[in-house]
Amino acid sequence: MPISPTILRGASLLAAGCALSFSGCKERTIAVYTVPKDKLPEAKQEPGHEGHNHAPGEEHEDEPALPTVKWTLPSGWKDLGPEAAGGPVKAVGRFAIEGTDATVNITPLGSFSGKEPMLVNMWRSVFGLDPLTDEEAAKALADIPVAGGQGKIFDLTGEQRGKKARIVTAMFNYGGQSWFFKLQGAPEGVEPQLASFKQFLASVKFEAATATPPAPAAPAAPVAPAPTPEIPAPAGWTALAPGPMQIAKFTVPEKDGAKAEVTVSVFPNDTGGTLSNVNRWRSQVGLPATDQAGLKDCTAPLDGAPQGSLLSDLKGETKSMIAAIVPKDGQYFFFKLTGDNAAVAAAKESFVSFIRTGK
Amino acid sequence: MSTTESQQSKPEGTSPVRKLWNLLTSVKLAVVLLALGGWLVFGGTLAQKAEGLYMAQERWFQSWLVIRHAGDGWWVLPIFPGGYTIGFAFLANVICAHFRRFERPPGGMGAMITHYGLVFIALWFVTHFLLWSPLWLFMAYAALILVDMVVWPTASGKKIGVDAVHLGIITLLIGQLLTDLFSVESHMSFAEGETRNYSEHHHDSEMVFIADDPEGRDKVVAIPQELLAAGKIVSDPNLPFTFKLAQYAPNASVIERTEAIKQLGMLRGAMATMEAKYATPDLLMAEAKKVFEEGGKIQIWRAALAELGEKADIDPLPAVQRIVADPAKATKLGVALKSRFRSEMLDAFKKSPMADSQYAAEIMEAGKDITETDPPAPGDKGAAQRFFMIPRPLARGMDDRNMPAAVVEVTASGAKLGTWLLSPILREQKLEAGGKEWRAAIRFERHYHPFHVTLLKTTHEKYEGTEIPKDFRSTVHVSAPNAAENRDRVEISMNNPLRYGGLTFYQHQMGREQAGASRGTSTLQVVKNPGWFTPYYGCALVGYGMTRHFLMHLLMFSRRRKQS
Repeated sequence: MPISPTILRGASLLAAGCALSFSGCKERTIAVYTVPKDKLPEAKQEPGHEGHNHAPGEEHEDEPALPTVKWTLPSGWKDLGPEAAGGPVKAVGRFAIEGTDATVNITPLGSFSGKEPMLVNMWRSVFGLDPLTDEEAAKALADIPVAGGQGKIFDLTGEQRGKKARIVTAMFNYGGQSWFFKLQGAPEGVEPQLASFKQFLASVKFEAATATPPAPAAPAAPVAPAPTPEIPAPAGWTALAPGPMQIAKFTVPEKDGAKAEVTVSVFPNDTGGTLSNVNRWRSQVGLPATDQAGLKDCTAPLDGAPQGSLLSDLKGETKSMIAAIVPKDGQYFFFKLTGDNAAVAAAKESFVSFIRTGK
Repeated sequence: MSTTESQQSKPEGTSPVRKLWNLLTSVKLAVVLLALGGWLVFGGTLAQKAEGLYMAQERWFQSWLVIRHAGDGWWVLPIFPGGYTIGFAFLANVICAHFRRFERPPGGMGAMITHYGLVFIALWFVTHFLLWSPLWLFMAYAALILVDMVVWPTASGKKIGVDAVHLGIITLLIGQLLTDLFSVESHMSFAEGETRNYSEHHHDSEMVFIADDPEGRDKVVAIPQELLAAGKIVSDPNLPFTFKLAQYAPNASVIERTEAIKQLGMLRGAMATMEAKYATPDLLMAEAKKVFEEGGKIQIWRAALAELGEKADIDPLPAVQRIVADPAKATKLGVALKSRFRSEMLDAFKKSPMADSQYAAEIMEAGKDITETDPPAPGDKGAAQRFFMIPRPLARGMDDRNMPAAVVEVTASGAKLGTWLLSPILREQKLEAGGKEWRAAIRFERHYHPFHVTLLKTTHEKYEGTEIPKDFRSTVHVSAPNAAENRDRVEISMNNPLRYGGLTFYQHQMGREQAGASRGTSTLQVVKNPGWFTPYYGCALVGYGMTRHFLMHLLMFSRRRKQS
């Protein structure tokens, strides 16, 4: 059959048209529509809560609404109330156990349903224990009744900060969150509490979140002070709420608008050695890392402080840091003065005096 | 210029148009395209392991060209035609070949058009209405072929079978294109007793700004992820503000600062405790005895000893004894052990499902720190004051999900209103603009439906003593604006989807809340595919064509044999 140019042209046009219309089909635009209001809990908003931690039952616009949690306390357990505002952990319940150093807390985190073996290995690594395969980790998890349903529990004993420690963790999924119930302390303190802990888990009750903030889950109790030494603010310094892993925090007087702050942390050891600490500090003020030989140029013994104390004075382009490692009573105190160059220089004398005297 | 003139001016087969026509209509091209298609399917399937299902589909099958990237497997050629190129070329080849080999039927064009039209329409009806009754469908096909061969044995030529096969292939190719362009897959998740009127896309996200309208409903301005990119300024007449995407990542970890600091402190403390155990030769020996006598961490010790050239397969303690006697070697062993345990602890944190732990391990590994100001707060409003975002590579796993995040600087009437951090893991956040309160969020793209689905009951049975599913079933009620279209107590199970409102609802996942009311949960896969019927019809045409062609030749052969 002879070829008709019309057919050829038609076919070409058809192909081109297909290709063009095809490329146009994928284009997306901004859509505007009206829908009935979403009745799901995640759409509920409570005005006036922004940028702060909150007690259970309150809603925060960037967090899922938490259900109310109720429980029955075993005898000898003392309710410490939820985690204090500004605290690092969002525990909704904390309990001390009389006569032991063991504590219990309840913490909701995101959903880890199906990821329990990973959590077991993470806690094992904290204790310096070998990781388990997923199958082994799954075997380490036992079923346990929690809140009328079934949760998982695992038990670890190891060393943490130079001390023997035992953590018994129960995990339970509710309302799109994983709830962690943790009994921890010295092994001899934890062991006698296991039966009470199981009884406590079974007594837990969840009530779904409501649109209006319900009453706090547990009876309001005064928040227990953190078991850290009291450090008074030196003259002219302003005490602030310490951050995570800190026992004290201050701001020093401003110098021509330049600002600086002091933090004090305590660890059971020197957290990896002087070189790694100094290099971390150097990176924080924009200085390059140094080596063992260069360490002597940026550290000096701190006279008037316990033996072995070191002071490192680091000055970057705009930021400075004066940091000290002070071994005392089997622990290592880390003092850091960090901020704008002018403010750090002005506060150096009072900072060193503060390290030496502890006030 | 007419065809006749063209043929007179140039000998047949030498004109470029003629050459192109010859190429387009050649069987060789069809064979080459089929071979290329085979290689494309092979390469695309292998690539799914490294690239993930969705990324590989996009790169290999929904593209014009596949260009080799760094890190690709050996089977990836520098450049290769993608699915669209091969598909369109094959479509053109089949259509053009059909025109070229077209023969005028003995009974005339009218008879042929009538014959083809009636047969293909009948085939469409039979397939459409008997699709879910295989026995009836088979019998109807057999009857159709029988009637066709008796009524129109050869009136419209001998090629109806071949033409039906070609038409079937064309239908399959066009159907695939329609599916690719217009199909939408989403998920509807709910617990027993809950009602939904929307489903959510599993991968695609959207940035939304929502305000109350005068009728108490939500007015939603939704910006699809394709329109979001770092540095982009977005405005819309429906919004009383413009915003700039100071940061945007299609996949990111959103990290709470205080949690990350806590995790880093915990990791640093654990690391220090571990390192203290291997600080001196005495401690090394004591730790070795403990490990080899009481068990634990033996593999790491053996690997560290092997690193120092010591065979420690049977009784490693003498080897450790020899090493600690030499201070230089003892130091090396301590370093090797610390390094291995450090890597192991960091790995455990990196594999953690918690973004805070992962980030703490990365920071620890980089020798950096997390402070109140580092990384800096991404913004000054809402969640940006407590959270920050860390961009991550795109998720590639079948079950992985990208979690986009954006830092949004909002400006109205020339004044900056503030900077927000948005992500699907954060809740909606408020902003005031134009005298109205707006809620801003990034969420997975929602598809609203003009009806509501209520999950009445879930049935989730497994074979006793196993995790093998026996019966997964959701019982739902569908409420439409017109009560006559309501559907009550519809059961959706694995091979029994619900087709309603142009959508197909498949049973996808099931679960159960563990507490309180212990409600069952269900996720339905919601598929909108206007081209869903084309593969069925295409296959019916191909099957019909092949059978018709075979039977016709069998009949002719039989007649010739009888005559001879």
